[in-house]
Amino acid sequence: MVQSMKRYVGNVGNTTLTVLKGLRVTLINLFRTPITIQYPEVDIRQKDLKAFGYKGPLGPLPDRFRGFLHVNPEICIACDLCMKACPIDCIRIESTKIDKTTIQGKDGKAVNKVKHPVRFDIHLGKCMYCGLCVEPCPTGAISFSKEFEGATSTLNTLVVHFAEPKGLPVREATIL
Amino acid sequence: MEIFLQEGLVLLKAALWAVALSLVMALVAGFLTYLERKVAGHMQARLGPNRVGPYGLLQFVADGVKLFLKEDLIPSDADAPLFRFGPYLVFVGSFAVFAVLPFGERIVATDLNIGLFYVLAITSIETVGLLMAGWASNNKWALLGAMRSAAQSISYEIPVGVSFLIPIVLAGSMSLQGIIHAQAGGFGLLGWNVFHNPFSLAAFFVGCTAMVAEINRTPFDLPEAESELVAGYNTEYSGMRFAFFFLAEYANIFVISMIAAAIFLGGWQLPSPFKDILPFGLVGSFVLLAKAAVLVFIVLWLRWTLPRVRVDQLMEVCWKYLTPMALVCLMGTAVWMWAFPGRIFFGLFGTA
Ligand code: SF4
Ligand code: SF4
Repeated sequence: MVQSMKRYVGNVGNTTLTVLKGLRVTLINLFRTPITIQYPEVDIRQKDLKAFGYKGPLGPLPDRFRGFLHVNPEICIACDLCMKACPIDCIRIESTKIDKTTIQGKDGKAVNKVKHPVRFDIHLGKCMYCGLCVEPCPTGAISFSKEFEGATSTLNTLVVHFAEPKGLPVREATIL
Repeated sequence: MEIFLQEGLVLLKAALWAVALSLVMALVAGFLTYLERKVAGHMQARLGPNRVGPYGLLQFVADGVKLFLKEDLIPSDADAPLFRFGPYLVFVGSFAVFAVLPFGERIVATDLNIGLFYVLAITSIETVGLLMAGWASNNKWALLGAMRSAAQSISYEIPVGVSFLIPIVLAGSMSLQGIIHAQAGGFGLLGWNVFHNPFSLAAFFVGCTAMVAEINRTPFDLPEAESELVAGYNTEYSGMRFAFFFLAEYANIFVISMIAAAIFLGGWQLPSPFKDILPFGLVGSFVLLAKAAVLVFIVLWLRWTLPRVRVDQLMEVCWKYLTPMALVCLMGTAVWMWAFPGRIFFGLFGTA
């Protein structure tokens, strides 16, 4: 009898205490600075989010962020390494022979350039941002940008042409 | 002729009150949905709604318009008349309480002499509505939710009723205004029923817990338990009918807070110098609303703190804990009134 009375009162006390403990936790969190980044207003591609009035603890996009691929055709030597590395074949390169020039390579060594890409298409709708194309590139011509806004109503606009043959009309986008 | 005129005036007055109260209910319930999302957001380090209107204040208007424009769906196997009728019954059960809610010393639609009894009785209609909705949906989730809601409301009616008895005993009146009048004295604070004696203090917490359970709020939200029953009794509802459920649910939070503030926390009682600053006892109204707002916040706060209890725990809390405790409080209060007649604030002060 005494035992069960004790348990009864203990249960009531325990409930009250634990509820109060829980309420304390949520109350503390209520006054925490919200972590939400108001995305279109706060441009997370910029370095300084505080300039947009963001007060939370999150930082901008990290340096290794994998956005859309970007290609600089001027330093691309059309070696096709990226095209071959891509597991889902979403890169297409066509090239033409040019007079030999040298390009500064990724590791600092000079790289000979004897070919120039006349067509460099990447289907960003198919790309899975694995980075396998970025790694083998000897010149760093292909790299990830921080751009990620790809919403579109036609799939073809996601096929990006980084090189177009000079003097020729812009080719119709083809799904690779 | 004269009698018709009088009748007409009475009817007109009733109609005006009904319109005003339904506006109040819609606004309060709408604002509460906004507030709940805002509180939930900030407790989870988010922002909550902040796109529609300043600070997202018009979010509920947008939601309402959206629900209003939705397709009116009735499942083909549902019992259509009952399915249609259920939400209105739930809505009426909640709305009818507004008729006796004292918004101020002189602002009340009707001060029934059995006010609290009426509140207890009319809110039971909601259970019928929920049961109807769940049954008519012809859906296992809905039926289970409705059954739970019936079991829950019937059980929790008892601790709520018994803890309502304590202010009734203290005031010797069932009218909400009468109970508030009885809490006069002590600078509008010491006279509160909750401070009358230790038993009434306990009864306040017992009653509030039971009321939270009766309106199916978390941690007692088993009838809609999202993780188990999809959405419980309103699984099959959408559009306007769903909006009625929603409206009633949020209006109920306001209703229980107002009632608790009125019968335990002194209602619109104020120290006499402040009473007549504004006409119609408006200062008192603000005080009452502020008390209710605090209670509303606590209800929201609880929801985002506590996990849902199990069905057996739910029944255990009601029958093994709240009901006996409420009964003890009732008897204790009665004995206290006999031992320390005419004294307030734990028997420390005499009534003025
Ligand atoms: S990131 Fe991966 S999927 Fe995308 S183009 Fe490069 S290799 Fe192909
Ligand atoms: S690996 Fe680099 S250099 Fe070679 S084709 Fe691709 S982008 Fe051009």
